[in-house]
Amino acid sequence: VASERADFVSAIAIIAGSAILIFHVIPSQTIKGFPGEFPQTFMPILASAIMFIASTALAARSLIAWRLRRRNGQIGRDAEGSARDAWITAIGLSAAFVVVLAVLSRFGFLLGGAFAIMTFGLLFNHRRPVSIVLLAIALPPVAHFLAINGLGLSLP
Amino acid sequence: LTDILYYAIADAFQIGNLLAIIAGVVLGITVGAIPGLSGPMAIAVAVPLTFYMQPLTGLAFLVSVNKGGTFGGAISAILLNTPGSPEATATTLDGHPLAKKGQPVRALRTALFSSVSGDTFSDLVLFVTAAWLAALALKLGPVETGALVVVALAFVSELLSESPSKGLISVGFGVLIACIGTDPSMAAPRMTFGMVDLQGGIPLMAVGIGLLALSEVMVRFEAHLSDRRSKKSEESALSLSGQADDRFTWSDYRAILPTIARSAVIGSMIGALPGLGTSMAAFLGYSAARRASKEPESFGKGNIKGIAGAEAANSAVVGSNLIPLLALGIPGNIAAALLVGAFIAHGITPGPWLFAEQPRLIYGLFVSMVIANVANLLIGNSFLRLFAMVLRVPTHLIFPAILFLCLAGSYLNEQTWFSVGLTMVFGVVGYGMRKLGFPVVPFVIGLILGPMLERTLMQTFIFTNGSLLGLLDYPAALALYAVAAIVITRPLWRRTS
Repeated sequence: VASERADFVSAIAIIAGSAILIFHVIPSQTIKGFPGEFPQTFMPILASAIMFIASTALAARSLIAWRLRRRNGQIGRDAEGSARDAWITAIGLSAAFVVVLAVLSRFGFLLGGAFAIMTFGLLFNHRRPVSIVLLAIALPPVAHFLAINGLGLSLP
Repeated sequence: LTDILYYAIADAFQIGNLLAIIAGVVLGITVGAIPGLSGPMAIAVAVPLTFYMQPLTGLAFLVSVNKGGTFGGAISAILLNTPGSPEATATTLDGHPLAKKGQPVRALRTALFSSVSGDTFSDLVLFVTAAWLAALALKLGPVETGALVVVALAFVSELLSESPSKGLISVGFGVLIACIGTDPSMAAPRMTFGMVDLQGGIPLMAVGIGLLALSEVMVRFEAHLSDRRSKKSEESALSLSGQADDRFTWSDYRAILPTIARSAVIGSMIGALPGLGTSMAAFLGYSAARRASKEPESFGKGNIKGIAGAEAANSAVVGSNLIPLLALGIPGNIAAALLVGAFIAHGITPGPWLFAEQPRLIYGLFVSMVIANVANLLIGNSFLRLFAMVLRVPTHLIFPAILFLCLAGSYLNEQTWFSVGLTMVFGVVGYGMRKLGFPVVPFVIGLILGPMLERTLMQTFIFTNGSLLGLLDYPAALALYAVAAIVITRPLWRRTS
């Protein structure tokens, strides 16, 4: 049930998104060519149309599956814990990514990398700080040294 | 040709190339052994490391990572009952029961020998067929090539997803993202929202690292949260100190040889077709082994033929999946798609013309693949216990380290923070796609084939004067479009019938 509801909601979101793309974003973000020329809008409109049609099919299919289940009395409760974990992961880690990107671009990979490893290591397991700190101290300098001296690449 | 082969062999045996192959195999087995991480993910992170290597060395390194990763997946499948990579799922069916019977080393060596044998057979298929197919592909015009790309995308969307609509949405999304940047017909920016960083298009490797590696870190984080909530502890791996009969012998190898041969043929055929993937090969190889067995009831209880059937089939995909890439320029699966990124990074566009323009590189790569198989066998066999120890490294150290390497890899790829930001964005997008059941592989393949599709459709537009009726002059292309239409609409008639 949770999966059909998620399919239906995501299909509706994609239908709306592709309609916005076709009618607003693509016309405003492309230029009009000369008559007889292969239009710049062709590929993005084709891709958006594929998404629109396929998501309409997905919405219809998930609705039919949901009605069939309801008719057979198979409606149960959604897996609330799982959905909550997914939201915590998506929002929490997205916020952590923004902070890490800001720190990395400000302090580079030596200090910023240590910060990133510590942040995510502690998010994974805050009861083992010593091993995480040791990894944060050891890995960025080794990776930095190998990238610059071993591979001749540039890493801030 | 003899001269080219001579130079190709000499190139492949250069010390730098040999070291890269060994490093690739070690990296591949190590990464493959970690549950959740796979060979393609290691390729995504490792591509930037190859930028300053010779093209042959870089490609040999990446192919070796893939070969090592395919066997590495079997280590955690057998010792932990958790496949290191999706294609190793079938290996758990007999691998883990055999390890639990006190024969983990026998199970692992069965997997290793079957994997290398299947892989070698598939490489031979590649060597024999790719040049011949490439010569055939050179006879195709842009109209037919465009139709062929459409067929490949149809197969990928239909076969790589449980729901064909979701596969098609993923492909469409990939093609849409590929449209961002300067378009090939007018050389003018398109859908860049005025951002200079987007004018060159969305960097493939930044997307690949985000979708494949970073999203996996997020999936593991969520699994960790759920385990913590249910107070479930991490499963511990079986130790390698088995019983006295825990040995893989020649008679074992002779017994599994017919199974390996059967699975190698299945895997090679599946690998050569775009979109079918290694997991399907593994399960087909396993079920073929079971059907051919005189004692099918012993499968699932630790039969070495079950391990051999799955491992030989999934490894046989590794070589043959380069056939559509090298012969047609169309990547058939995710590993081949990521290799496209590596080819492009070295200024080489993969396709049939490579056999004429870069024969030394291609044949050097073929020889390197054989060397990588030997290295896989020797390294895997000698350091089995060491690789098994990877399973004991806790996730709170592995995944932050991988995250750091993803971010560093993304920066090295484009040398911009924008690329790192894109990796993060696509990490979140990939996580969302996985949670909602949208396959990420068709997205990546759509992203790679998008520019090729646009170029060929543009040429089709010119040749047909922009009229659909003009396609009647190209019967082969029409037939291919009909195949694509059948593949896409097949689920509809299946449902109505």
